[in-house]
Amino acid sequence: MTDHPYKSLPDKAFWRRSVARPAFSAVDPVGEFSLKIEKDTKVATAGSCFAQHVARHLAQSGFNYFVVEEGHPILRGPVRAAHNYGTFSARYGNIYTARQLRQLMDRAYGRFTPAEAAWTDPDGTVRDPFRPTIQPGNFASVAEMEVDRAQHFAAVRRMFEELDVFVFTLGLTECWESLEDGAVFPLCPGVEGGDFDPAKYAFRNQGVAEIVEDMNAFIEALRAVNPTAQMIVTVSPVPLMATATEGAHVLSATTYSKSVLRVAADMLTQQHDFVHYFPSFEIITGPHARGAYYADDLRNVTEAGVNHVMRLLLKHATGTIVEAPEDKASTKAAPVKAADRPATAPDADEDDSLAAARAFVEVECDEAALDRS
Amino acid sequence: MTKSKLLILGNSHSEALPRDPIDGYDLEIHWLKTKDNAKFGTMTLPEAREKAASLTANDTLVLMHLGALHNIYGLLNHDVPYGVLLDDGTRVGPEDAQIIPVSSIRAVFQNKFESDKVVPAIKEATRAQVVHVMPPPPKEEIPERFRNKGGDYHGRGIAEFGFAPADLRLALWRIEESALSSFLGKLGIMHYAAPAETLTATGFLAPDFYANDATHANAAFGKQLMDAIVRLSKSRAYI
Repeated sequence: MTDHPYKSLPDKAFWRRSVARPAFSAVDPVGEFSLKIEKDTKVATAGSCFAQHVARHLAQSGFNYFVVEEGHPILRGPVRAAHNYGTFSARYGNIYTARQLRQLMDRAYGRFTPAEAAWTDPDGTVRDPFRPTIQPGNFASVAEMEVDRAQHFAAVRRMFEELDVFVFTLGLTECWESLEDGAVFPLCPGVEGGDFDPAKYAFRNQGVAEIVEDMNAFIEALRAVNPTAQMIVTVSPVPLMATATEGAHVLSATTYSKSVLRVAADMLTQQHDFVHYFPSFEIITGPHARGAYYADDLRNVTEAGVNHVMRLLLKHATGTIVEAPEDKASTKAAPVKAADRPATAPDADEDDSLAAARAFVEVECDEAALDRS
Repeated sequence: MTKSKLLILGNSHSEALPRDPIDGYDLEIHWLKTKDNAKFGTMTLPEAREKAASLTANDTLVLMHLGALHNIYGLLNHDVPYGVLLDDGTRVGPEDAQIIPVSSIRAVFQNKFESDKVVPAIKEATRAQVVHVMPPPPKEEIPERFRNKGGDYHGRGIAEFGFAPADLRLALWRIEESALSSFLGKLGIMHYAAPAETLTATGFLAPDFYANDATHANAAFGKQLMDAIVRLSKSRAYI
């Protein structure tokens, strides 16, 4: 019997042994993952909707989820979460594309200022075109939006400069850009604010080379301000909500988009030893799961799917072994907001400043009964 | 001629209202005791609901319960200084403070209003027309002597915090007023803020109407407020 290269390969190299045979929650497609995260490692997150799950689980798992834009302490409970503080490390909202990430870096450091003006809703309130859903109720004025944006960029700079590990989930290849200066938007103008004008905006579907170029530009800028920063790159398993590719079916467009992102991610890991790929895409979409990790809408990921991803991330990056949950086929989508302390009682979320103010006001109110004149 | 009833279910701010008889009205004023451990108060919520239920559609019920959040959030300087931007772009609050978007502060207030059980319970219990009156706007100048009153809170005296800048206190009162008006509107309750004649040109409580503390108005304000309440009741403007 002749010898051959496959004879010495580990089980993970074989489909039947590592994908078809194990219980689906036990499938572990992580080949090699050399990055180690300690309890005090500052882990920052950005990306598409799926990245919100990573952020939420990191926060809940006792790791140092690095949040630089937590919102003022008076914004507690459901308001804090609803206003997107803590959803990601800074309040940038979803960053779907590599171009958007590169643009965030360049804008935060003043190297690029898009020409696009603020978007004004019919009620006179104002949206940031580059974070159009970040502020429920919108900003009261352009000036308020600009002040908030300046505070946001200061937080983003701090995040890039102080983080240890940056987790970025590549979500989409399709985006809309300004014809004036190439600035890209997270949402097509007109969908959530703004007015769509074909003379001002154009559709762009990024290819592998463009994504790798954008990511490399970002990585170079990140390492320039933080030479020891490490990166984890993942690909979101969440399919496209809709495609604007002419004549395309959304399923084919999703396959294209995810394929391009997956190839780009691999190229980045080959080019940089500090960029690590984590296969959350494979964990959710692989045949072993038989689609069970998708909710009823066949798009959002269930909590069981997110748990599988996070269990493997914690195992490989931290050495923490978390028991696999039962293979319950829940079709409920995982929540997409960062965990937050619920407001169990009206006064339960007060800090010292508010408690002192309340005590002072209550004393004054009591005194009003004694001091009636 | 049958008199209409004017029932006022108030709080510490209703102590400034006159108790004198009013032509055409049977006036009753109570301080709602909304917490079991409250030191003051003359009527519990179940008693208030019962009283409210006894009113007819020709009567007027005035609630003075919500609207003090601007003081909780903004009377004293916060450990993490913050400010807001006014519509004209003016920055109010401590210098270099973090600016919080107005809609975020408004959401904090709305969230608190929505957890209130008193106002909906009273409204649901009565057929009378219901008006809610907010605490008076802030005082531009708060006498220094009030900084040292009241002892320590969490081991820190009021002087250590200090009173917040007047323009921020007024901005918060206005945000709360707007949020409260919207909240009450959904419940079918009219919102009333303060008699115009008791305010300065910039919207603060005028010094002639200061009570002897940092947050309350005096009996002269109470007289003006009662006149306004009676005018509203007679005009039924809020129906």
